Amino acid sequence: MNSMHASFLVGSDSTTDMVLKTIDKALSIGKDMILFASYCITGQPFGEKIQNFEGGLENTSCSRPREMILPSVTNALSELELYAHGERIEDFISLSKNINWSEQPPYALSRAIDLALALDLSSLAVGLAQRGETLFPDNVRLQKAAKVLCGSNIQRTQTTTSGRQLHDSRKWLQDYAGQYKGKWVAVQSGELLGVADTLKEVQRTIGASFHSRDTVITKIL
Amino acid sequence: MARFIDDLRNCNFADGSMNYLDNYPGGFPSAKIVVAVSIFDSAALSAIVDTGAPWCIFDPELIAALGIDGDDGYRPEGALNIRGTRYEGVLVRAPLTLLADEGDDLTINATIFLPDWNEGDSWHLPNFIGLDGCLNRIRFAVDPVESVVYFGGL
Repeated sequence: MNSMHASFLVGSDSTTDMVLKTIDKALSIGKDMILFASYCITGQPFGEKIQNFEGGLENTSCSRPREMILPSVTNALSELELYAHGERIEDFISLSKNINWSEQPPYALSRAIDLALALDLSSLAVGLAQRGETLFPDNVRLQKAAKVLCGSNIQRTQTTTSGRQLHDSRKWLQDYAGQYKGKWVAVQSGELLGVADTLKEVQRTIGASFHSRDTVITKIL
Repeated sequence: MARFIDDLRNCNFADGSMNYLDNYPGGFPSAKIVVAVSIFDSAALSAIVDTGAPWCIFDPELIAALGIDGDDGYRPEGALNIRGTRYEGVLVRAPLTLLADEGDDLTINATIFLPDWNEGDSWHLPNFIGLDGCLNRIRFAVDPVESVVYFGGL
């Protein structure tokens, strides 16, 4: 396995203490992360350090038998990691679409989603999240990924455009925004309501208008 | 006045339209599409339509003021690339409303990336509406002649 695979969790020069701290952190996050951290570490050519880690594992707060938290490395995920770290985008996309995710553990799919997100492959991440939602209905992390990344709810709302004076406020911004560089401003009906260094100050100044859609609030860049 | 709003409403393409600015407030005139949106019950906010950005991004100071937190969100392991800089953070869903000048407002359950941010930290990026996090979930069309965006639900 490529030594970069585990670099986001532990480096090849990590001490046993660092490895154990990583495992402790994984333990605090959840089961999938335990599995994944273990996967990364066992996949790393640590040599003696793996043995040290395995010995040290007995001293962690994990109550699972070691064979449960040290799964065999899945070839599919290790290949995905390899492609991701090598920025071999086409290979990454092709492999992720061809993996039979129903034969993979949930943490592998979760990791694939994260790798896709990190590579700016958002559409692929959405697709993988949809797979996760269907294949692993009991996996909290994958369900959360699907909830956040997939699907859509659209709602049409009758607009009260007659009372909304955004046009005048847009005009004000075009004409005067340049005078307030770096400030937060609130504009309503084409008039400046408030200006301050922080949004909180503007919020205090304009009160309920902070929640009125007739008010335009923006930071002048 | 959006010249095509009646036609586009009649054929169920669009529900509403709004005029857009071609520069972010304070910026130089440019070829941007800056629209007015609202998140939850916020005032109107400026945001750039960015089909090259996957998710919506808003000033973290604004997100904090609106009380949006990442507790129910999805935190990827690893950083996301936001306009060339990598940020760790949380992806969340929140109602984002396109504010119509004509026709109806349209509220989308958008995906917004909340970068990890501490109060007092500076943030120099404008607000963005991204493709996968919002625009892919609606129909939209741009008329650059009149600086109008038309939008409708799928």
